[in-house]
Amino acid sequence: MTTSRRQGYEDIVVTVPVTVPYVRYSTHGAHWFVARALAGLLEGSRLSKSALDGLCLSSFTAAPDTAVGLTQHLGLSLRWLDHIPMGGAAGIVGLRRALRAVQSGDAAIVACVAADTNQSDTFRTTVRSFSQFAQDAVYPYGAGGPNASFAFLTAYYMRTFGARREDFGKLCVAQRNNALKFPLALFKKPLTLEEYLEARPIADPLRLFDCVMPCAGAEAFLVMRRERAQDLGLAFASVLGTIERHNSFPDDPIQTRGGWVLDRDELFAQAGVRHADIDLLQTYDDYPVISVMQMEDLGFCAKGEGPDFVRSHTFTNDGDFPVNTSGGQLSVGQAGAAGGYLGMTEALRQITGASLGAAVPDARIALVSGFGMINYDRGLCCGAAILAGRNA
Amino acid sequence: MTRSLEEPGQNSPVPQARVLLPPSRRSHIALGLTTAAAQGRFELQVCSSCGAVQYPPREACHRCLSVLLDWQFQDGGGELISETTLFHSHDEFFREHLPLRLGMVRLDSGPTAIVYLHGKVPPAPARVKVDARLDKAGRAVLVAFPGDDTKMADADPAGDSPLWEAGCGPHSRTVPPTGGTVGK
Ligand SMILES: [Zn+2]
Repeated sequence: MTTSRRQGYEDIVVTVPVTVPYVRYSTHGAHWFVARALAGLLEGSRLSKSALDGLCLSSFTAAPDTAVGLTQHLGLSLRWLDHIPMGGAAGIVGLRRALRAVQSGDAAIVACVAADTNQSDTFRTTVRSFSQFAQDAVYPYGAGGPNASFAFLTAYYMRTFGARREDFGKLCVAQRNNALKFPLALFKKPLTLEEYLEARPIADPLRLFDCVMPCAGAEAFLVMRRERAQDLGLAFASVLGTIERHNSFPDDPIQTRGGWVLDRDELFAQAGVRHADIDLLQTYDDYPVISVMQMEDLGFCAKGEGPDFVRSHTFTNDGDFPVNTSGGQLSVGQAGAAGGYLGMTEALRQITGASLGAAVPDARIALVSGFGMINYDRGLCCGAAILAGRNA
Repeated sequence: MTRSLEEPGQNSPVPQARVLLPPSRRSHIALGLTTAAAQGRFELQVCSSCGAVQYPPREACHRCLSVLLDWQFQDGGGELISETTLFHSHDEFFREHLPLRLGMVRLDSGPTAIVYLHGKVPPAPARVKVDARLDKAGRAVLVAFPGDDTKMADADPAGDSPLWEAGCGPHSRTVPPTGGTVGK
């Protein structure tokens, strides 16, 4: 199969990572969180609101509004607008759209924002009507939501590749260690492997600490030309390569791999780096099995070698393979679509020397991975980006 | 005009028990499964152009995009490839019936289905027979029974599961209204 060569992003950069601090529940609407994120972007860039001419939004809870409703609600006059309802892949896909918009001249400064609220019934409502297939063929079977879907994938992965609960536990414990130094993490207590193994069962084999905690919050960043960022005196990262893929292996009876497998060679070729050059990895970690799947599918180890890979690495910020350096969603919380942005903002901070928590020593190159949308029995959206900090 | 409420007397009626039902919301197209289940049959959409079997129910063939899909009888044979036991549910009805065992079945005809598991289905991987039943809300749900033995499904239809009705055959049973084209 031949593919046309992907054009690079040479003069376009990512900058001003913003996190609107997460709260477990909020009485505010999603619009409030979008507004706080935009205000954070303007404050961080010292740009005026009128300088923003592009917006790329992801939110599950802005309904009945979409991105266009937000323009009037927040008084934004734009010449480029996109709405990316792709959950855990929203950060990667949003970045890709914004990069091309700026590169082509359709917009000069694009704000990429993922924001969601969490009210008492928000999560159930989202789960129940997540998709037509979910409504017809998943929710009526116990209404377990994503926990049930990922329980199937986890049980199958364990049986097929010999992963143990301890392997997933090791990842969760390492991420919690990273989170203890990250001021915005909702989980602030250490987690031991024993606590992980003995936690309340949720959907066998998943227990409490395999599952993210839904919360409210927002993540955001800006995309603009390099000269503009330099003029504004902003720390920024270059984008070396990106990929996305949807509904990758429809004939697989159950998901053990994602679209990264098809595109990872192009990703690394476009980026001009090797796996050994990656200083930190941000996986989409709604459940630990998915993190292991990404390590395999992005080529850090072969399919089925994930359990051994986990056993032979530490994943802490001071370790030999830093993963989810803010603690990831498993320890910071999952603020809806912002969960798909969390790795991006954290990677940007790490490789621009602006870490809020424990800095990964000499971090220059980050790989951020996204995964989203359990439309029925598997996650459909996969994506990844390789970013380089200013000194790379 | 207002008046204060009277204190209920000694003979006030017993407070009505709240009847919880499983989630009944389905897309229009998915009700075809219920229409067949109400007549005791497990049917899925089959593409008239290429023969691909579809699940979940849909508007067009996932293989060739034909919109000519016919509901056809399914043998239901398949392999239980993964399973879980739910200890948490987002729905009030299900919460009263936890823990709850579910399976993911690769049907021999192609699609993957999420199903309830009959208590006698062994741990995955295992051969199962999938059949459609009606739940307490009158909607079709898929249930996997052990082995290749259709008799099993008939002889020991469902145990005493509160999650699906013991049988949907018209024999000595009321066929519930479905809003579909039930009956002749
Ligand atoms: Zn067809």
